[in-house]
Amino acid sequence: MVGGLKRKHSDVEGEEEDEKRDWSPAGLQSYQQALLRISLDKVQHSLGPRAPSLRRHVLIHNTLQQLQAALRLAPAPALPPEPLFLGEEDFSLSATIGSILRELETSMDETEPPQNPVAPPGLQNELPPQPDPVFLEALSSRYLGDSGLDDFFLDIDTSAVEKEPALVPPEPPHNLFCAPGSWEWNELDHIMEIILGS
Amino acid sequence: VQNSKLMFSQNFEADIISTVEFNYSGDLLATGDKGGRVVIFQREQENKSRPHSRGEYNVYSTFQSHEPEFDYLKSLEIEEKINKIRWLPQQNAAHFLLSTNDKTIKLWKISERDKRAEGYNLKDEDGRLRDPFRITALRVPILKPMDLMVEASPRRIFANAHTYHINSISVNSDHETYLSADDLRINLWHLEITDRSFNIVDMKPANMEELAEVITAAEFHPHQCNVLVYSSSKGTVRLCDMRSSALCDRHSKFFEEPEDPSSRSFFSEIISSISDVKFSHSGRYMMTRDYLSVKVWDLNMESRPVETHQVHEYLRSKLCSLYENDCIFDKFECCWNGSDSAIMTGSYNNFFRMFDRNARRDVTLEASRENSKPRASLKPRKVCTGGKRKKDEISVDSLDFNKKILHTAWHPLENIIAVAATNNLYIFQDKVN
Repeated sequence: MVGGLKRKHSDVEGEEEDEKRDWSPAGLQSYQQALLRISLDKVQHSLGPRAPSLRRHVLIHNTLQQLQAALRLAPAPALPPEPLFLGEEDFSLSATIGSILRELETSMDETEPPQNPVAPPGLQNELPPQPDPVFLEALSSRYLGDSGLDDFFLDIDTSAVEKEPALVPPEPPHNLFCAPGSWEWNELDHIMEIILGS
Repeated sequence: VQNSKLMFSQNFEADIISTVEFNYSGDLLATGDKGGRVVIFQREQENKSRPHSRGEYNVYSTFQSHEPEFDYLKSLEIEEKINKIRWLPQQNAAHFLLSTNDKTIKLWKISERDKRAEGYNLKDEDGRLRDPFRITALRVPILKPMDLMVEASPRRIFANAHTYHINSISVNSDHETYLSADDLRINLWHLEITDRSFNIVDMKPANMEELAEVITAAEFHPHQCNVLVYSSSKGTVRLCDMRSSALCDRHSKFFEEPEDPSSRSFFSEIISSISDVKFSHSGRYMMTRDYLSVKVWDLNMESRPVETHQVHEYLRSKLCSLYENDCIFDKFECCWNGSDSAIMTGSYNNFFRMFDRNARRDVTLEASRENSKPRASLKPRKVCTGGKRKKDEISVDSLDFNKKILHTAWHPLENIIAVAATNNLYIFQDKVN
């Protein structure tokens, strides 16, 4: 009844059959760093005119956390660390991801009361108000691994996090609905329904 | 499934199709697209003088369900794309369906009009108001036949209840209520009441930084009106009984298959994320679709599925590339046939897979115009996973990952299937010998 397959796997993550992958500690680390780079890239570019997919974002975030954990546990690399290797800056990485999620939340949430974004320590009082799109643009134009993280957080907009009315009044009817919404139309429709027995 | 031969029947070109759904009788087939339109097809009555028509589907009604919106407060566009359509059971001559985009659900009434009234007192035949002083006699308007017109009118608009993107709607077996689910919450509505809904599931953490799991799909049980299931991005399914508590934060059952430690990778969670959950028609089983497989669960056994069917296991070694090009986030749907003996789901390269549960056999078919001649039988396809490629096989590297079949539907009673291949709708029917 159970149709599962017993699979043979090497003892590392997956196999890429297009090339012989180097699974030495250095090779593995470079693979993990590549994944980290890809993931950070995705986080940056997922912001656009439409609200991003929360599911995709959460999945990438969780994958990033796994990569973080794996890189933390790895021995010091033989190669000089790439600018994106955030070994010591793990805290700011997770704080950055956290602040991205928070920003997404405040940009998508209608009913939540205003929350003070908890910036990483030392940056609490350096948040001048700016409109949301500027922040989004700043995210997409900067690499998260930059040492310019301080400047990055300067663009966070706190003034946009305002309490909205609990009930947003419904949009006025589009021209599609104007005629059907009028009293005369409803009456006629009702009469027609009676006549046609529908 | 294995013994019957499916043949190509029809093909319709449209905007990118985002949902496909047969109604309860199978006579109507609704599609929703990226442009916010709904197109409904109706099956022709079988005609003795045209025996080969065998109940073909023709366009019955087309209407604009949703328009793009702009949320000025957040500077965000709200897509008009139709995420889901669900039909209501038919109660009179008119047909009703629910259609939803990311934020707003609408109840549409589709009705036929083949008569019109003539001889109004207050206005002319062309609609102009008559001068009241010229009306000297009163007459009763008479009904005259006219060409059949199919009208769609929005009957209810259920708005402003979802902060996050709606991924599912499901009509309850009580025919009075329905649920709508977004990434973090599930709301219960009464079909007559639009100004309020009842929140029954809330997965939002107090601190959004702790968010690690979202709701991916939800459905009501087909017969038990108090039971619903919802799936998550962590590969779990929770079954809730609304009788046990008003807020279904506590599940009655929790379905999760333990992970195989030998196949663990950085992508394990992503590929375990469930993209669709569907109850069987019988209500005894449910099916979940994750990235690489379809699983059938017995509702009485939470520890593991009773069946696992591999959809495209050859992609497991390509996960890094599929992560890079975002295909790993594609949400495939799945469906049962009317008797629950077979299941179907889509794949890449315009392939779709059908699994015969009784015969324990499966087949890969392709929806493409190049391979579809009218009433030609569909030829099974095969993907070559290694070694020497046989004739007619396709190698994994030749697969077109832009041609994905995410949405399929199976007629509730017959072997007729509807397959959406990007902007083409294919209908395949059983070949009659």
